[in-house]
Amino acid sequence: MSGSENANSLNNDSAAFEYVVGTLRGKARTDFEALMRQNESLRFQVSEWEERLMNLNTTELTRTPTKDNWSAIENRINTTAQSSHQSKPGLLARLFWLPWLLTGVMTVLLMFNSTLFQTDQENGIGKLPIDYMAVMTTNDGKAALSAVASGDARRMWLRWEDNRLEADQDFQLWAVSRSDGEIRSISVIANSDTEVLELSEAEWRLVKDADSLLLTVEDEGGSPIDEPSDNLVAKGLCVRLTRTDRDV
Amino acid sequence: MFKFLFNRAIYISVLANLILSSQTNATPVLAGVADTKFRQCIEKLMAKHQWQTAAQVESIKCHNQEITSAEGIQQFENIKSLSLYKNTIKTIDIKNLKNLETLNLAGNRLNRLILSQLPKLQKVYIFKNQLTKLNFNNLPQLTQLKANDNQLDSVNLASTPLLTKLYLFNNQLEYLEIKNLPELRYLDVRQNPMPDEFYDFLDDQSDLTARHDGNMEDWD
Repeated sequence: MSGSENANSLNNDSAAFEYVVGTLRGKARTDFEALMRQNESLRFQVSEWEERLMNLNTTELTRTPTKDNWSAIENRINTTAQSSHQSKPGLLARLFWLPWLLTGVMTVLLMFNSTLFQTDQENGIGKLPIDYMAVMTTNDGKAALSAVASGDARRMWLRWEDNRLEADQDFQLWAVSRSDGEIRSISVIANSDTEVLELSEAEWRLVKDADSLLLTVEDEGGSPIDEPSDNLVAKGLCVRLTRTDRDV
Repeated sequence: MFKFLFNRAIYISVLANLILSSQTNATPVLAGVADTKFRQCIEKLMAKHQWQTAAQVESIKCHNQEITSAEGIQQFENIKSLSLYKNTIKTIDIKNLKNLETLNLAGNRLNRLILSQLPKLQKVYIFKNQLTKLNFNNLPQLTQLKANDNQLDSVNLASTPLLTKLYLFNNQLEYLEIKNLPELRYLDVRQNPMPDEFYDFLDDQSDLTARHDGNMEDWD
């Protein structure tokens, strides 16, 4: 399959996903439906996504929320309820849950979907068991960077969406510690062509201890004070896979 | 006539000398800076801030410039901030920079660092070097030290009474003396070959949040 065919296939797959979860709306949805009527492989992609999403009911995939999570949700609901008496919230306010839903759905689906990393056979991902996975999204819920990490290989594989840097800038990947909340650097990444990170023992420890991963833009060479800048590109939960989910 | 021409020649010669010496004296401050890239970086900073003399220079920030030597830094006695992140510096002498408040030498090739008698120094960033020894003495205002990701097997912190946060993740330390650090509130010594007895000692320190390999869930 050529590069342009690959890109086209990924675009169709992404559109099929959005159609199924309902985020493809208006004219875009109507146009997609028209395309589906003429394109059998597109109809097949849509039914694949429908089947995957219907299987999202296993308790093995849940993470036990902390007390803080529940009180934060309650506070948010109460705040929303109070403000609804005063004025009708706008469309964006009503859709505040959407980025979280998309992040959660994509994270879970990636556990079962090896196709996004199948082209990385030559980078060694192959049949290695995957221990950790993160999908980092922007503030508006778009995936910016997906990452999977293997302890056996001491490697992290990266899958980038469209991310651009100025000439004198680098990306930097950070781990937010589960145990003390401190943010520590995993790696400085020169550009979005980087697909594999070799992890030192110390860097692997940071991944294992991570509650979430952050991606920031820094001056060339990375953060000089070993702390993330305000230029946050994306963030996402770092999910530890259970033994039954590990084999990709 | 001859006398007129002779006097004229002397006049022109003296004038030329004055012009040449004034040009030489225009940048005497950079004469002692041996490293070309360091000199160029400082030139740009001085032009940008319109600093004319070494005494006027308040801060130096030269990141990622392939600077191999900081020789000549000693003359900038009034700088409050020195940041040479991500260069290739192996040694540095800053003992006469008495006004220094922030020092960043992270991402270089230092293997030993001695800091002493710097009364205003508050924050030091020296992570990601090749340091094996640290000797800090009489730094009364030092509050934060980031020395993670080195090869430290010895850290001596004397007369640093205000040190509050100490980052030593990923080194080769078997022990760390903290009894003379009464204000220490956060310590990260994970990824160091320390014995369990020392972890127990750290856990017994009240008012100290210590992260070590004995209390991390990721320790297999």
